[in-house]
This record gives sequence, C-alpha cells and structure tokens, in this order.
Amino acid sequence: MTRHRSLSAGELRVAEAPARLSIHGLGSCVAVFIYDPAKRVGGMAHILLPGPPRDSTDHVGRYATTAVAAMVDETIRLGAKPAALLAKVTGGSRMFAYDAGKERPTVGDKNVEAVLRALREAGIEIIATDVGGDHGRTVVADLQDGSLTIMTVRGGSKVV
Amino acid sequence: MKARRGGRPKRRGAARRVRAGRPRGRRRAALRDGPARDMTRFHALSEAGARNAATALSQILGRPLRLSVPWARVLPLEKVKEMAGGPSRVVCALSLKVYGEARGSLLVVFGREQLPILLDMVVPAAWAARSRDDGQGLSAMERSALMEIGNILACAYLNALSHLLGVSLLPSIPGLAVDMLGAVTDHLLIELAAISDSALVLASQVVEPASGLKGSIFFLPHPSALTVLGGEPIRPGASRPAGP
Repeated sequence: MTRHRSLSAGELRVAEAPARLSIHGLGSCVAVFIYDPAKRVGGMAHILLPGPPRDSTDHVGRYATTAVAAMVDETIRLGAKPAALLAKVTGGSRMFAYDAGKERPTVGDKNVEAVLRALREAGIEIIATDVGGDHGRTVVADLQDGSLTIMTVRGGSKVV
Repeated sequence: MKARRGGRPKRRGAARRVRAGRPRGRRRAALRDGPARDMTRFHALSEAGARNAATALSQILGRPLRLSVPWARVLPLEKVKEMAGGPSRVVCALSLKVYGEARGSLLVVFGREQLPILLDMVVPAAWAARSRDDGQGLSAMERSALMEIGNILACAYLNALSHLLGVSLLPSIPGLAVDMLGAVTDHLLIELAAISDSALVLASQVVEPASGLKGSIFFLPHPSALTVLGGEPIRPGASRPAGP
C-alpha cells in the first residue's frame, strides 16, 4: 500500500517506495526532494529559512543547511548511496508584491539560493527546479519513480 | 533519532519523520518563556478590532454585518495553516504588515467562492467588464477594489487597537493574492520561525447574513509586540472604539 505523508512547514521526512511525500500550498517556502533511483529511497523537506540562528540546533527541517544534511544522513541510513542521490527543488515564490518594482531578493529567492548551495556542497546533482514566480504550488514526490508532480491553482499540473 | 526496536519488522513504504531531538541552544519563543498570559485580554483586543472592521465594511457595503465570536490562541507554527480551513483551501488573501509601536502581520481572507459575492457589492459590473484580467482571474478594477477593502478593514482594525492601547499602529499597503491558504501564510511563518516556535493569533470573522459573505481577519503580533499588547492598560472609558 502506498503511504502518503503530507509535510507541514519545517518538517522533513524520508521514505522508501512505495510512498508519496507531499506539501500543500507551498509559497515562499522551498521543497527539496532528494532521491536514489536505484534504491528507490528518498526524502523531502519543507524549508522556511536559509540557515538556523546562531547556537540553535533544533528544528533541522526548517533550515536549508540542516535539512539537506539531515536528509542525506537519513536516506543513507535507509540504504541510499550518496553518489547516486539526485535532487529536485521547487517553491520560493513571491506571493505578495508589497514593494513591486524594487529588485531586492525576496525571502523565497534566498531560500532557493540556500537550498541550491547546500545541495551543491553536499555533492548532490540537481536535476530539476521549478522555483520563483508569484503562485503557490502543491507538490507530490513519488518514491516509486522519483517523479515530482507540481500543481498550481491557475495552471494545472506538471511532472518534473 | 529514535532507534528502531530489535525484532520489529520494517514496514515497506513507511515514511520516517526525522526527529529534531530535544530543543537545545538559544532559548526561543517569548510566547513560551514568559509568565502565563491572560488570553482574555487578547480576546478583548480581537473583538474590538473586529467590531471596528465590521463597522467599516458595513458602511462600504451599505449592509449590516454580524461578527462571529472572535478568538485568540497561541498556535504552534505548523498549525497556523489550519486556522482558516487548511493549506489547500483556495482563498483571496490580503496581507499587510503592521508597523509602529507593536509590529505584526494582518491577513484578511475570503474564500475564493466568496469573490463574486464581494465584487458584486463593490465593483460596478460595467467597470469590471471593461478591464483586463491580470492572470489571477481579476480585472484591474476588481484588484484595486479588493485592495481598498483590505486597506479599510486593516485601518479600522488597527485604529481600534490603537485607541484601546494608546499606541500607534500603522498598516502597510496591502498585497493581494488569490491562491492556496498555505502559500499565502508562508511569509507569516517565516517571519516568526527564526525566533519562535509558536504564534499568537487573534482571529475574527464578519458575516453578511443576506448574501452569506464571510471574511476572516487574522492578526499575528510579532513577539516583540506582546509586552505592548499584553501589558499596556486598556484606557478607561474606552468601551466602544471610534469608527474609521
């Protein structure tokens, strides 16, 4: 039976096939999905911020740096090979334009940048991104085949 | 991390949540650390703000409005998205930052299905038809009308709190989004997550009985504002806040 788990903000889960991990209503937060296609194990994190405050060691799933590191450790415990891990990243929207016209990086942009950097530093190949924009996303990661389905209110759905 | 007990078979497909362990490091959350808070006070503020906002909306629409029982609760951050129907619910959200002597965020929420009812009341049909769709299914005139409603509601809400507490509270220009509730509340969580594990939420709902129009107002004070909101005495004789 395929288990389906929905991640709340700041949550991180790892799983093996058959399972689906999802996030409903992703805005400026970022979803990162890492997956070992040979072992069919992986994990997803619902990330709020680039990095933790100084001296803080809790809520690893909230921060790009700690979430990526924790997911790598946990997927390896489930049997993933580090060199085989692939990543897909989505989210980081700018939902409200309070100061439209100013080209300042938004919190969504910073989250995306932090996640991509953390993945590169961990040596994980990023094979798909669907980031930015001004719309929310619902994302479903399928551990059966490593697909990531992204749905929006306006534009239907796509699979990356 | 919790170790798996020996002898128990591993369930295929089971998703394993990574436990963060006991909280360590820098103490967080003014909401947890302080003395037990008098939520009655926050209920009173929630009601006062909502009553003023309802009065203002009633004047715009030319219809009487009813106020649902306002509430004030401390919610864990991961529960905030449940406060207005869950992260997948599609809503029209007006988001405003609050500046001044008590910072925070305001969110005005209408269900997407409410939009035709609301717009019908505030935008003459001829004007709406002439303007272009902006991609969110709204014409420029409709967008402008909704932002103005958000502005008026926020000002009325904050005016009431200002009057009761004797502090200045100033709203930003509203941002507008028609999207999933989860997506339009992310920024609220992000602002709080660096310093707190929970959010104080003051909530209220206004209802126009004849049409069934329902709008919700959520005020999330920044933790730095709690002393101002929770500590300042409510001004004597301020039983009914002034209208906008």
